Amino acid sequence: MATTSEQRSKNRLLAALPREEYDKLEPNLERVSLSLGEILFEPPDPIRKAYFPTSSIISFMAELPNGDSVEVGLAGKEGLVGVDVILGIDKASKVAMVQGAGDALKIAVPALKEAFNHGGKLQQYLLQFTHALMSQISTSVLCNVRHHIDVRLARWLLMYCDGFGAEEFYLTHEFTANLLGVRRASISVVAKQLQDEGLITYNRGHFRVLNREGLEAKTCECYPVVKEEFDSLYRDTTPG
Amino acid sequence: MNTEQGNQPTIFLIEEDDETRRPLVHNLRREGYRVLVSTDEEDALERVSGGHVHADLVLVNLVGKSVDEALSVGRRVRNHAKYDGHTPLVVMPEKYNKDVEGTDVNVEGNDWIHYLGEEPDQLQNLLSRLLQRAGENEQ
Repeated sequence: MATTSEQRSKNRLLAALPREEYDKLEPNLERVSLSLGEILFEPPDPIRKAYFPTSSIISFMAELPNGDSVEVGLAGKEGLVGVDVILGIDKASKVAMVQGAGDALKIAVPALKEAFNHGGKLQQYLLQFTHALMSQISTSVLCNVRHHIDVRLARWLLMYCDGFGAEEFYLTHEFTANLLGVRRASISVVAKQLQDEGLITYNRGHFRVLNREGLEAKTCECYPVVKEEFDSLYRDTTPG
Repeated sequence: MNTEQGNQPTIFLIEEDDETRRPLVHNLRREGYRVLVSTDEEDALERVSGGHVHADLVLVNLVGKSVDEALSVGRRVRNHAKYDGHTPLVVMPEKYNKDVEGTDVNVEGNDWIHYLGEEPDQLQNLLSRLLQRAGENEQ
């Protein structure tokens, strides 16, 4: 199993930290394997651990009292799951669910807060990542209201491609419905449309992107806006 | 089978879900069907009154209604349009348990409940089968 130092390079935020800051943080990091569908935290529970994903993808789901839920954001190797705690919010306001199985570096919330309060690059990057995440969530809200379902599915598929670093991945039928805020039955209808357009293949939750450029042309302006937010993070850094 | 528009079978779609209507119509037209669209029962009854709208199959997808209600709506539209009883009716329920996902249930005569599942061609396979059978019955 890779050491936490080797895992560090797989999380962009940790990789961007100066060496001395990372060295102080490292004793508090524990490598964990996260399984598909695993809940890291959910309302109204307190957030006790935060996670730096290294190869996993975690989605944030907003839930209605009737049990319906919609994905409002996702985080992967570019940041941290549990940024609420650095804003002084210790209770989960959304469900954090593993959507792409893989690894992460786990840290106890008190240790993260202590490191954050020391300032430095960690504080700066966490705040910048929080801003990018807020931008992603607000863009998703706008997109859900303004754009058609096929365009929205194209956007999420591109985001998942970026997150997984692969053109082929599995999303459950139910999750994809939550992703788009539609009923399950609509998924096969819209997936068929994208399939007929030669952009993807879809069968029983298995998505394969055939034409990424076509998918980018299909999607709305929300995708490049959010992508640029995350791509620009840590751009001016020289990792230690 | 109606061939007024060449060899294209005509599907009369009653689709209340704004999100699903657009991709569903896109898919059906791409499969080669002529598609007439109504957004609810009232609109559908208005369109078929007078008997000038011909269709080879009625497809119903309603929001916030039970399967029985959706079947009743489909049958009312079919009767109002004076389509004969052989004109297939397919209802796509709004909500259903996972254990029926991907199945097609023949409830009576040529009336079907289609529980959309994870197979993207499932609906098209059923429509194609029903239209072929309806064509054979006419000959």
